[in-house]
Amino acid sequence: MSQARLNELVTRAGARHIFTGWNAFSSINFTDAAQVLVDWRSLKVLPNYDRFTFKIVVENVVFDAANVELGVMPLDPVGGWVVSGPSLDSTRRFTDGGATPSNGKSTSTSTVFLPQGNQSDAAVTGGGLSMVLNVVNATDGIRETRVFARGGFYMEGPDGVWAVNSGCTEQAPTEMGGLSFTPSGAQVALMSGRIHAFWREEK
Amino acid sequence: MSTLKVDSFLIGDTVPVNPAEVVLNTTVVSSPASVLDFSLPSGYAMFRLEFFGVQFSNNAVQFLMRTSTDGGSTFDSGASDYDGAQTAVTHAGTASYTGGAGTSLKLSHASQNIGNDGSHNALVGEVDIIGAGEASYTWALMHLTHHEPVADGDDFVQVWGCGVRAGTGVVDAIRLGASAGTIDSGTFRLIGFKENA
Repeated sequence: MSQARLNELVTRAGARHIFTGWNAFSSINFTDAAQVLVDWRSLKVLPNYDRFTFKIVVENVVFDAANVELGVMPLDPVGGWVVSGPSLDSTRRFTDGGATPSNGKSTSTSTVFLPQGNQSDAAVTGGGLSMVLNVVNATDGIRETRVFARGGFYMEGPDGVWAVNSGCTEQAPTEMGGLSFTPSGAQVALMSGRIHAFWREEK
Repeated sequence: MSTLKVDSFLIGDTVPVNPAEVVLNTTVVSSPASVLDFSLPSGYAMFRLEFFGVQFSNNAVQFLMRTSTDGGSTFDSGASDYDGAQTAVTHAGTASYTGGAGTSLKLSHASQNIGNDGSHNALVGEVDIIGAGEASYTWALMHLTHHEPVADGDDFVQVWGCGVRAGTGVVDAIRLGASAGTIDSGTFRLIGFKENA
């Protein structure tokens, strides 16, 4: 890199905020919901910034049935769900018992962060699913949107606490208007939980 | 269907308003401390504890956390007060998994212990604490790196996992400590992410 180019980059970086802090938020408590939407379509990028990054805190989601996964689906910016196009899910989970971990991987229109075969159960006292999702490049429409997850959940029976790590998904270059959270099973509801959304702007 | 609209605070045209991220506490350890206590005030959806440059007095220790529901007067220490799962990956490519109930919430791996070799920046990482204000659950999601004891090959280790508090009651303080000895140095920063007003 030339010195002139380096100087230009340094000047640009020094003259502008590259990131804002995590500094705006909304929260929702839900009970007995078939679907929970996080809808950021009304957000407008402020001057000097290009896109949003979101941090979604999922707090102790409990289902009304066992053997349920939490599906996450992107929301099209102009309405409707993104029902076509690639979505790659790669997740790793392991139990507190030290059992051999499992890797989940799927390509579908619904991203499941709890991979195939995982279960979260309402029957366990204090049970539920908590995780933090970082959604990158969600709104610039140029780069692939990636979602990184880190979390943990209870599973009924002796397996106890499980951790979910390094779950990520990739959406083809498109602008995402939000996320939809739904249970994987039919006739299953998100019985309780909270979701907090934080956003920041990036350049 | 429940919908969370993320536009509640969209005003202004320069710096976004209503900062949600608040630094609540920065503690620099310059003399050995057996424990470090942090208050968790109400009104926050999540806390993030960041730490770096952490050195311990003893070799081969675990990094531990306990919770309080009485403002830090006492901390839960029952045999089954916490549960969790942790994994560690060494620079040699060895992965191992552990977990289970215990008297403390384990932030590090039970067998991939932390070394106190002074030539290394022993421990760096972050812990997200979710649900502290809820009586029925508190989760901790951690991601940290450290060096093993020199006797173990001085591996560089990455640890991540989760832990949960088994008891009930709103958690309003946490305590950090080592499985043996003291915390001799390090910087700890507690950040709160505000609850929606």
